[in-house]
Amino acid sequence: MQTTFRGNPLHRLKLVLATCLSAAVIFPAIAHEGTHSLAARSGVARGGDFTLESSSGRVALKQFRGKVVVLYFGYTSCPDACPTTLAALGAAMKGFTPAEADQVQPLFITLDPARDDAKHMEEYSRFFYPSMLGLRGTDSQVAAVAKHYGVLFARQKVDSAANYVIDHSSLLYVVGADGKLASSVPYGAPPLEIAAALRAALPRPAK
Amino acid sequence: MKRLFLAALCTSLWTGIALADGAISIDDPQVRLVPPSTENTAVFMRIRNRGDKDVNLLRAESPAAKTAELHTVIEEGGMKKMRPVANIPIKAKGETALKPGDYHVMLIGLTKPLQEGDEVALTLKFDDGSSQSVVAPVRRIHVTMH
Repeated sequence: MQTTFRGNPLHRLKLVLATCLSAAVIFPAIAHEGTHSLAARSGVARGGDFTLESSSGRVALKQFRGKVVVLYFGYTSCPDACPTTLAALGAAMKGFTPAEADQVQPLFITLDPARDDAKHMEEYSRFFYPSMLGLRGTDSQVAAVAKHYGVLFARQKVDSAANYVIDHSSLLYVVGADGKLASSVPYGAPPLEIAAALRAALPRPAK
Repeated sequence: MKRLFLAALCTSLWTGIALADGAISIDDPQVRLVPPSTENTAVFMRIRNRGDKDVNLLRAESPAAKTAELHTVIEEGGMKKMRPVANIPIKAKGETALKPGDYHVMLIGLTKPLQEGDEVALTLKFDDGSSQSVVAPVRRIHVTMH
């Protein structure tokens, strides 16, 4: 399914329908809804500034003004959705020219600060892409940022040696050079689609 | 020593028989490479059932981790939810893929960090009484969906 950011009204209607359906039906695990603009969604994700902790101190979204920031929320003992998405993001970044890559800052924010310390977040994030920063905060700080971006998550006790898992939505959020939320990329998007969403947000499209 | 040798011989004979006649076969097993200090990872593969009866994968064991569990990922309420499952079904004359976003064997509590190219031994036990031993290489898993 190919979609663009500037969909016509019919297209937009289709996306709204697809979104409604997705809420009602359990999607196959790797369902692919296509990249869509947030305007076509329910509008719960507003984005906004935040300050969290990295292994080398505080990191504020504001400090990346002028760059495109791509955000992902997950946790390092995440069995599947996180490494799958972060690997796809890493592959998208590696496909950029150095000039393009310089203009994009990937951030990985943990939804499990109890188990993810800053050091581990750094190591985990860097594995997927060298400049990716791993961020954490207190439970309430993380919950506040997640809420701004419309991230759904819940700690869930399971009958497993893993003790508990974090159920969570698994989108990538693209924040423009102006700090405003530009678009989101659904789970399962291949690297080329992630790259297209990031390029679309670049202030000066690289030739 | 003699007893050990006999046991080894029996095991290898038995494995040989299982490979030759078993309804179940495993293709392309692979372990997801994860960052060095990560304690969990997933194993993916395709399990084929040539037999006339449905078969369930019941258990997985590996010396590479404290625990190996059967898991799946469901999407519900806009969230990805990892859940342990009691078994993974493989239909008669069918195939079940253990793949990202779907069924997988979860290795929990890796006994040592895995490097790309390492080989992980895994034994799978099925409800028809059969068992399969595979060696899964550790790889960077790139998901190419479409």
